[in-house]
Amino acid sequence: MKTKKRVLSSLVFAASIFGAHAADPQVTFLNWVTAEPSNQPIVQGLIDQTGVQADVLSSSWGDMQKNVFLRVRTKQELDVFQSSAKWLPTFAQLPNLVDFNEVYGQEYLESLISPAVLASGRYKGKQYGMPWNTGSISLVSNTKVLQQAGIENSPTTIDEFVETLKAVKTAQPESTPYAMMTKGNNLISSDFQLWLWAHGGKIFDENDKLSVNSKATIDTLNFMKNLVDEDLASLDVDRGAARRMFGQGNTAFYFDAPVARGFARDFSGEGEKYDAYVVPVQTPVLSEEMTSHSMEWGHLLIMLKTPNSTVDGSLSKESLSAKFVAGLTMNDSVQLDYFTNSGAIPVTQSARNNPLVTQEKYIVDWNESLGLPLRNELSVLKNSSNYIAVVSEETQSVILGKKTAEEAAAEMEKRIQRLLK
Amino acid sequence: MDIASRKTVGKQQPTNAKGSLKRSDRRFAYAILVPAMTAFLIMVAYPFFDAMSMSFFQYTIYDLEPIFIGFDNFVAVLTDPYVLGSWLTTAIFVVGTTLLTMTLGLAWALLMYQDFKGRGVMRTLTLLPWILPSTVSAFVWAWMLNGKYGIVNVMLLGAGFIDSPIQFLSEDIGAMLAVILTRTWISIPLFMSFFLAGLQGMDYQQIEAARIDGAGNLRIVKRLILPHLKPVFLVTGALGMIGNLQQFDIIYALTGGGPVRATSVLSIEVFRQAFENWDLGMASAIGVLWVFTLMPIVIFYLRSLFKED
Amino acid sequence: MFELRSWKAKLGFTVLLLTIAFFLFFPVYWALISAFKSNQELYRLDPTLVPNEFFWGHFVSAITDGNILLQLKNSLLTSTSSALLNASLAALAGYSFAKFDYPAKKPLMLLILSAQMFPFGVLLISIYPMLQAVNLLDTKLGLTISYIVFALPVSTYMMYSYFKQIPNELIEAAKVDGASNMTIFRRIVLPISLPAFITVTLYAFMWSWNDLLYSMTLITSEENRTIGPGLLLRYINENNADWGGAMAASFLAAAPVVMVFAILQKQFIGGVTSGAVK
Repeated sequence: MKTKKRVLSSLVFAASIFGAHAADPQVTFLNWVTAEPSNQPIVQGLIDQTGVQADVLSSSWGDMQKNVFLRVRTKQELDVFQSSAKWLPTFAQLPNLVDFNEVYGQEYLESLISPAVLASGRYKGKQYGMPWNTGSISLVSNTKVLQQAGIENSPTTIDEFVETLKAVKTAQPESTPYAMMTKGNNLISSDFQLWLWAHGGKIFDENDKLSVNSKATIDTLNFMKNLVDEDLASLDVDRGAARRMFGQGNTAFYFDAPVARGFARDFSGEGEKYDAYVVPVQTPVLSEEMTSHSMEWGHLLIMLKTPNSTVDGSLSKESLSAKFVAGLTMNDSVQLDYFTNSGAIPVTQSARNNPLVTQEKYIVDWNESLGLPLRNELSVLKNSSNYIAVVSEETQSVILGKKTAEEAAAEMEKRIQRLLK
Repeated sequence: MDIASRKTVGKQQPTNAKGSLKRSDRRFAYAILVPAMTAFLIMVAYPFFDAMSMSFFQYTIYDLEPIFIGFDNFVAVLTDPYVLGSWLTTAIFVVGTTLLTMTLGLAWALLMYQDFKGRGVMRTLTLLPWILPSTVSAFVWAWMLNGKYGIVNVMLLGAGFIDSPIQFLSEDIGAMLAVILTRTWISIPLFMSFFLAGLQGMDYQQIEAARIDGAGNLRIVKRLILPHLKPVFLVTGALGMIGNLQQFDIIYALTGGGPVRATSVLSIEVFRQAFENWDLGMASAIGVLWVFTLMPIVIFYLRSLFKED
Repeated sequence: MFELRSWKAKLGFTVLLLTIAFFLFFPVYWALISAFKSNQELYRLDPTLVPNEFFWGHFVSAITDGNILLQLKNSLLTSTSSALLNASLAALAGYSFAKFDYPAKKPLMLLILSAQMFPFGVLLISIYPMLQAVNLLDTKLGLTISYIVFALPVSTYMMYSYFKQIPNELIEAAKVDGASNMTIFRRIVLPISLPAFITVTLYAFMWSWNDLLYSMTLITSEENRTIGPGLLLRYINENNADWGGAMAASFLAAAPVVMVFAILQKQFIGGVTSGAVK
């Protein structure tokens, strides 16, 4: 027993040497932006402006949920973390979340930020997420590629879209005219939904009833399969590959967030000169009179109830965490800095109305291309990754020719039904 | 000092007969076992028993505390054809990779045993695939198998074997092939080392004698070398099976278990349930079933390993 | 060993040699060559077998932009210490199993050897909160300790079969001279077991060096990140697929270990000879 104790205490001692923590009060901030080394100085610059000391931890985007849950469950230090807007329903299950309305006051928040933007951080009436930057997943076109194929106008219907892709393929046989996401469950299920909406379908109808086994689903799946069969889209494409092909002039269209332009600058090697070719367009729809949709997208900051979020034991906007979050999300100069450095669209009304943003043609075009943004239908579900996996697996099965669209649509419905139970 | 050559001497001398050991010897024997046993108890036994009890609970991110649900997790696993499929996928991956690695590892060892110019350099270079971090190896192969810029497609197209590029990582068979090939590529060096070691214990005079009797190369391999290597087959087989069963890195980095579920082996499935779906109870249930599936095989293997002792 | 006087035998040998050599070495060559290609040349549909122009940009940015050197240091530190720790535990346990007889020996041995069949991912679920409880989460020490799981069983078996071959007279003789068990182990057994010890250390090193699962989960801060997840996070992720950079960084990461292995290669095979394979 004695030896055991000695071993344990020496372990603890060793641990204290290895993992010594600074004594200065600082906010522990977990995010994925800084996982990319080139982003570290940008984010550090923003944090410096908040005047709050932060211990910045990076996680890759894909590991973010895992790392947050592990840290919370094992009671490790964590005050504020970044979340994709679509993960909010999952994170909302965490204990000790802070409702920002209680910290800053609902009226104050509404005076700064438009209701639509605030809504992206709201779950069941609680403001658990503070919008950090916003946007939508929309179709981006490369007009350089389109011009080479002799195309001047962007397609508005799905048929025109396919014709356009064929023209691009003819002009540039080695190209992948539309870089459809065919790799990674999240990406596939998101592209599927965008095209499902374009075909007039939904996974859940207006009464929240499962409606995925529909003609629209079958048409969407066949449409996606045909694109691959006719070499207008390729397999093994994820967002990274799409961004590269787009920047290198091998791709005319793909779905992305506003950050698309930054990647096109990098990959084209032409920097801002390439901006002129990166043009957001409305997602084509089945027939002219239908509404075009895009997918809501944005980053939130989520705050946990910790000693750092309270002053004298109660939540306070004077607390370290609250100052940190406010500094990043409500300070116009920080928001605009982030915009100019990374193309992240600000969340505060005043920053959005700043000439820096409004005079940027790209952003104006982007906002016009959105049509009616919808929420990702799967990510709002409890245990969403299971649903995402089902939709993506069935979609892939059709694209690979292992199932007919009819079978996959029926199977999708059956499997989702089972998960819902 | 060459210990191997003395093995016969060692064998003739049985270990101390029971009872003749002094108590101090026994105490020493137990004492030096303590560190390894402690590590085993803390890092393996305890976590596994923890998982075993967890498998009877519902414990997802929505549950603040685990909720006892009896055998529900097991029922869920055993009735879900998609999860059950992982057992078959695992078997294909493990058996395919182990057999391929053993074949190529043996062939390469035989070649590297032959004296020829440049052998030393080649032997050293052989270790490269093993030494590269496995993430790196996954990168290398993903890049070579890339559906658009990959060299493998260029070579196959050039040789006229195919008409259009194969999207290896996006097709069922292609993806399985890719993970098997990559894993094989990484394991050949280790297997070669084992076989080479076995070959170095060969009795050369026997081969000479057989040759005088007119035996050809293939006959010598079949009649003399393969029987001599039997214990090596046992060891490499066990090591290979175990290593491939636990294989996670390469599959995760290459295909993430996809496309659809074509390469979702058990290790990937456990990771997914535990760290993507946050269903710790379910992940534990799969892990427990995994161990029980394996137990008979492992016991059989361990017994054959010790038969000679 | 083979008789290669006839042209048939020569041809067969050469063909087999070249085929497997191609399979083994071409990927290394291709990765190396890709690291030296500029992006323009890299993403071509008709790839060049030798770069038109040797481009150093990927190497430069691998070193200057990221944390690769730090990650490499972390990997080497955690892998080496866990390998040495593992080899020491295995040597002690292996010696106990090989040269002593006691009631619970067989079951204990089976227990340790069977450890390899428990799914690492499942063990991780409990290891995580355990490390957290002793403040070892997200530390190199914690990772080092966790790595022991990987190789201990096989290492123990390798050491066991090696010790088994040490003649008992050697030990008995020392005993007659009045040496204690510990002295015998340290002064006599260990020195002649060095090849096996090196082999086991290298073997264990490779397990940790290759690890992705544990370090991805147990390490969250940049300063403790190891090379595997580091490369994955940096080069091939949701936003990015920088193949040229990935290849360059890969070679930088592998270089130090390749050098060590080139030196220890003989010992490694020697250790396997006398140890695991009887």
